[in-house]
Amino acid sequence: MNLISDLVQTTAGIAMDNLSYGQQMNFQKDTALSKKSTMPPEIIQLIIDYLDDRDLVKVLTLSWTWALLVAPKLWQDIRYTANSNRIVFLITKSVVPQSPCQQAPTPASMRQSTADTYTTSSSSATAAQSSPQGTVPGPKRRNSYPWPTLLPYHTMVQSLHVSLSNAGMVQDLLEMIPCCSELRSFSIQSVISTEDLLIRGAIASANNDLLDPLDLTQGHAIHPSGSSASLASLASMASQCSHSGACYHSHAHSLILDPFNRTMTPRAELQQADDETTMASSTSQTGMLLSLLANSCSKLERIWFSGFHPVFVLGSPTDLRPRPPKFDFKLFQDQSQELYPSAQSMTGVQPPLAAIADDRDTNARLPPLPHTPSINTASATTPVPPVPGMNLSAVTASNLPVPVSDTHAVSKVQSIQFVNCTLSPQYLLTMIRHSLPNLKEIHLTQCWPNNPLQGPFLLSLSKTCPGLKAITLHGTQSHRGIVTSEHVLRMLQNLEGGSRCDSNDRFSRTGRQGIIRSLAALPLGTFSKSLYNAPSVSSTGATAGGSSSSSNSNSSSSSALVTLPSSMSSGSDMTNSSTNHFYHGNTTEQQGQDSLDGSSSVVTLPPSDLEALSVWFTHSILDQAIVTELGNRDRHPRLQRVEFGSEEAFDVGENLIRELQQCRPGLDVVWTNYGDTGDDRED
Amino acid sequence: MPIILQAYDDKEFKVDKQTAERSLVLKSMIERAGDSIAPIPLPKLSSLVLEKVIMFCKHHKADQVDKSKDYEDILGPRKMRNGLIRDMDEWDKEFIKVDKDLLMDIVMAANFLDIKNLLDIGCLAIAYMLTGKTPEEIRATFGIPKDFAPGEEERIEQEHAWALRP
Repeated sequence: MNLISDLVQTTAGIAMDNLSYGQQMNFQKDTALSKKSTMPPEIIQLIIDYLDDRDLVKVLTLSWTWALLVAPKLWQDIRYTANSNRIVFLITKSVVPQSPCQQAPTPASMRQSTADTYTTSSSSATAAQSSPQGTVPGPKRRNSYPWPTLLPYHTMVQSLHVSLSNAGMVQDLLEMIPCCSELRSFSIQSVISTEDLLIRGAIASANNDLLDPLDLTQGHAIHPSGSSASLASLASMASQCSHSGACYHSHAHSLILDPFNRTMTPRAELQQADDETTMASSTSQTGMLLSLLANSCSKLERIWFSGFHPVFVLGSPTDLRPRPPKFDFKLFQDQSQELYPSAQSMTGVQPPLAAIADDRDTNARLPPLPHTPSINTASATTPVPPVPGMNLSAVTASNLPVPVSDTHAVSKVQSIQFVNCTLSPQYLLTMIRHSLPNLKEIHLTQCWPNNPLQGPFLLSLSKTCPGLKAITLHGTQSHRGIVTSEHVLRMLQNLEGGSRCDSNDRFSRTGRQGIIRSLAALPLGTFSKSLYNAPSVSSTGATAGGSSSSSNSNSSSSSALVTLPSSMSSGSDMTNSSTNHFYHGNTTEQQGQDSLDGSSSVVTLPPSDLEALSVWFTHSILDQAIVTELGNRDRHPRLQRVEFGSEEAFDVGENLIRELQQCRPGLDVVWTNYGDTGDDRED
Repeated sequence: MPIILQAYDDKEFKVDKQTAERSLVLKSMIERAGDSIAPIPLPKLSSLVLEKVIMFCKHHKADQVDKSKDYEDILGPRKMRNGLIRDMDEWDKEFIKVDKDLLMDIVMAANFLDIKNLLDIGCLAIAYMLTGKTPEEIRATFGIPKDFAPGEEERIEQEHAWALRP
């Protein structure tokens, strides 16, 4: 009895502590809640989970407790459109009030609640509250919104959906993303022309190279820098273009880098620029959005892009790698020479702009180098085959042994989706290999109208990331004949358990196990032309190539190729490279080679992690072999949904998918025939 | 062996072990108490509330304990409401039709005794009571004091005005 009484008291005491800031819980009828609120925060939290936004706004102003609990609900999913300047402000300038006039006269208990609620606040929030003098620097304000915010909204945003409707939003986005430290999901859709974004993006990116998004002393504004060679080159070329009349396009843009006039740096104005010229000039581009996302949003899990050209707007694929927080390029170079004196000199290799920026910090140090070179040094220093047009310095740098660094946060991105993007397969593969070790879902919808989804790409994809859980392949008419049933089948056959996609084994994708554990240890741009001043394919293409929008896509693809070893520069070679160089699995590698020979393996493979498959092409894909593969419970035990579709009027897929359903009754199967009868077709 | 639960007014309720173990707090107590047959005092629960709680636990004693957790994992917290409504049986709907004071007490008791299903259903019912009411009506109904400093409420409203836009 005593034991029970003690337990009751103990449990009740704990419950009391957790309930309501010292208020006594009272269940008696006569102490009704209508007389005094005793609703504890955890119950309020449960209640607001059941409210929609309209009701949340109402209960927001009930009391401070409700405000502190409801606001994160309202802010966790933000849709940023053209008319959302206030949201940008609230996110970027949200601060906890500190000054007496700003400090909310909340009860002590509520202040404690605030601290508890926002223990995960970003470093920016922390820094904003901890200046040396104990005072908070006044928040930068826009004239149209002359007060600081009450709550740290920037820590509440978990999902950011952007619909770009004007080029100026890019700049706002660059301000906003570094603030969203708790971001889990990011999607961006463009409804404006790529050229607008290219011009805007190239300039902002060139300047953004010098901006540490986590360095609050710089603020979140984009600081144009007169030292940016690319910017000068860009302006020069634009000027020449406008005077000579050599422009093929008639874009009339007037860009101001500092639209809010918050910096003292001179404005950069560009009256006219050709998109190809812009591309060629953006050799220092290291990526804006991807770079910012990688550096600022360590919890990001989902990325979704739609409707624009990601390569030149977003930067090179390797830029998604998290950078070391403090990277000392000179120290890295010195230590590399000490440890590996026989390694090729990096003479002529310019440090990445980010490193130059970090050099200003004398305390910056290189991530720790390995104490002893691994026995696999030879494989690590295997020269990358030269790529035509690729600058030699980058190749030289890529031959250096790479230090191991455990200081980088591993990207948590599990899902990525591209819709209607002119994206090259090489870009995507490189990004997956180097930047997305935890990728579990890939959704490709109507991608690459000019550089179609290729069969070899599917094979490389399945070898690079065999642990995929969800795959969506929605092709267009241009994919007819390029992606066949056999490609899809082999992709499925290559899938296996997801251990290789786990973060612990993420480095196996590089094919240099034990040596290059993280390509992030390399100076950015080792595999990218973008960080070096040497001539690049991009600039060559700008002078020799055309300037139509279609050539835009083509040139982008060729530019992306320079970021890869030569073995990736063609479709068939790409398959070989993925088998021989990039993935060193056991059975899977064997099977991959077999499948290349045209003889599918009979090797017993571990079960895959595949849960959902959606394949839509205008031509028929689903055949008996795919049905057999998907019907194999041992191979795909977790499969829950299979969706196929085609435009073929008399596709046998409809019958086959019924057969698959009979084979696996619990499977959710969908067949969609979105074509016509074919009677009015010319072909 | 029945478990005896004692309300604050000393009224005792005999329940079977399976029913009592719907509460994770009681389950822990029972496990630690062993074969003790002493009543378990629940001094913060009135007999009226305890009776309702026991009624719920008896009805759901055979349910899967972590059902709600499964919903949350699969659907996420926002969509969980629809899942709960869909899966809430008629008995639960009738059970939760009580006045707001008793409803609040039941929710508090569910929170105290750690009965997740009852807590979810109770909070869902309270959420529906809030729906469609103005802030002032909600404050009056649930006795929520306004503790904002002058001007703060207006500022918070302004900073969230975007949420009301279509």
